[in-house]
Amino acid sequence: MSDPATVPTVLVANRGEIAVRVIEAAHRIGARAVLAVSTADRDSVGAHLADETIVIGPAQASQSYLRPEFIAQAALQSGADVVHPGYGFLSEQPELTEILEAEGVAFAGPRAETLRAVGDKSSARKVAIAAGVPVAAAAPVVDPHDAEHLRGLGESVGYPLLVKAVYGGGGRGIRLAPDYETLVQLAPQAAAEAIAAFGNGELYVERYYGAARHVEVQVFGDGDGGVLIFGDRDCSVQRRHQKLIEECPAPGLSEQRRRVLHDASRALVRELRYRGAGTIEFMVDTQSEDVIFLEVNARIQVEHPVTEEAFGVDLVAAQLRLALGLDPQLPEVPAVPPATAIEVRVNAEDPDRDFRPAPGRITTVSWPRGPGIRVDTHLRDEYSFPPFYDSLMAKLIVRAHDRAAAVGALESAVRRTRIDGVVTTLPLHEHVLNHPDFRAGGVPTTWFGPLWEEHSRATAEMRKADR
Amino acid sequence: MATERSTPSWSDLLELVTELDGAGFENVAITYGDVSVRLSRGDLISENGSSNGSTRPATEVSTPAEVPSAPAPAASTPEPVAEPAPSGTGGSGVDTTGTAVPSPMVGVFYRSPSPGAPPFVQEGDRVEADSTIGIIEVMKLMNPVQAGVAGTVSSFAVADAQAVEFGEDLLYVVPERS
Repeated sequence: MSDPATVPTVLVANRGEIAVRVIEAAHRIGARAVLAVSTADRDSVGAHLADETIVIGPAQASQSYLRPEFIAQAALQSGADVVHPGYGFLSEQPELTEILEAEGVAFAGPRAETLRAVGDKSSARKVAIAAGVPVAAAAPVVDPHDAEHLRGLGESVGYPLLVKAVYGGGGRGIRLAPDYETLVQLAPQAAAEAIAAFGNGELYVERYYGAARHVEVQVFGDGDGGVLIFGDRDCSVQRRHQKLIEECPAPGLSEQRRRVLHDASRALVRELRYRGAGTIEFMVDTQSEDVIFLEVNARIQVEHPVTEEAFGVDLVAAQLRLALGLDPQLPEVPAVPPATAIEVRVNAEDPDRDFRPAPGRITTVSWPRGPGIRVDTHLRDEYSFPPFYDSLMAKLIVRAHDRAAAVGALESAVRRTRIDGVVTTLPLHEHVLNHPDFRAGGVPTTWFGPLWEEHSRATAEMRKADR
Repeated sequence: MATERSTPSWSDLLELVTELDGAGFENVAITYGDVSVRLSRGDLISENGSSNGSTRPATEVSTPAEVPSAPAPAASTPEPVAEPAPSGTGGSGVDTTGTAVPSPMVGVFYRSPSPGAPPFVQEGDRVEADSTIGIIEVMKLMNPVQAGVAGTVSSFAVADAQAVEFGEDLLYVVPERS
């Protein structure tokens, strides 16, 4: 592959740890890696690893990483065969895909039409229903003042349920009704509030799950309806919908439930003729047998390494190969991987001060070594962690023969990790990995929030007492 | 010490930094709740003082506007980018005397409005701050570039139809002393 004519060029349109990951995958398949950077990232680890960098704009993402025309221009200037968008930024924006397609540059992701079809909740729900994927029971509220109508809605959807404004968003305009009496009381208020807040009083009701797990299925489609499933991940340790710890496989799933999740995901990928790596997210209720479709993430995800480690595959290299028209070189694998892999996200945030971002100058970084340890990071000694972007510093991943061994090895790895000069979320992970609930496996997404609040309160009181 | 309530959110701070970066200040210090933000386009701010973890990286936006001769009037200068001007010993024989005019975006630089037409400006021409000195093409969109400084064009750093990065020097203007 020394002839430049046969060496493909990958433009990496992202930053941070995922830029490093994609550059390494490009090199893995014998491609040249060009990194599009903002002025804040010119001296980053990714910039040094890449064969070439192109400065596409200033530090602000809105004027650099979020501009499809600058990414496309950089692709043309670097002679790229394929653009890999990473996650976040433009990874699920159909505009970039379309501009690239018009210029004959491949995109390491799904087609624009797929991105549109799964891009908003209501159209994604339609696709899911068409594919026979279980969705949350929901129904439109025709008249919020009609008690009999509401009774019927409640009976068909089931309690507890959420009253939601059709035009609401970002968690606003949502009310919880545990029973019929509350629903009758809430519905007219919710309609009046929706008119005031969103200019439209339309409502719908949706079944609420107060103690569900977040389980997702890793898929890889060939773009023609062919599907490979790479197991599932549990990402239930979350704070305000931000995932903190992820693992593969999801622990404690019955064979039947796992089959429902995998079969639904396979059907959805077929329906979409999905191309490349993607994730189908579900809620798995801990109080009933319900499994509910949440959304499709049409990109490589932050937590993809646990799947890669558990199954021994390279999903990012496969994305690049597929986009270049090559065999992605992925195997058929069993539903449950032969090993367990767990990941903690190390963020530049202060977990004792409401997770306030804590960027700054890192003096030294030191990672643990040993069998099954993987670190995906863009940190280095003397790195000034910039304030402009995501707070993700590193993903520490450990693989072991079973879950208990993986939890123990990861806990030890967290303790042996040193990131000096800044505050990080490492102490939080030590706490969670030692907690009996987490060790038992299968905590719901509502578990971590109150746990950590209680922990922070106790810590603060201890500090006060020490003074 | 201010209460938690008066502490700005992280996005407030980013907005503030972005806004200040877009204004013409050389040095700014703002106290905001219990957070103080200090920015400088020149040398790095000293490490002491009340800065905490949040304020420190703000120095990252400091944009060393290396201007070998007289600095251009801040009000009429387009945002200088973080690319330090070349030292003038590039070895390419380019006369880098004067203020570098950086490319405002990634794209292809054109010296004239259309193929075969005379260039907007040439070496030795006098330019105003709002004089168009070239065009950057980004995905078929033509974006005029202004000098940003009044003076005399000393030389071009890039050729016609050359691909440029954001912040790359396009040409040099010897500013007028006012």
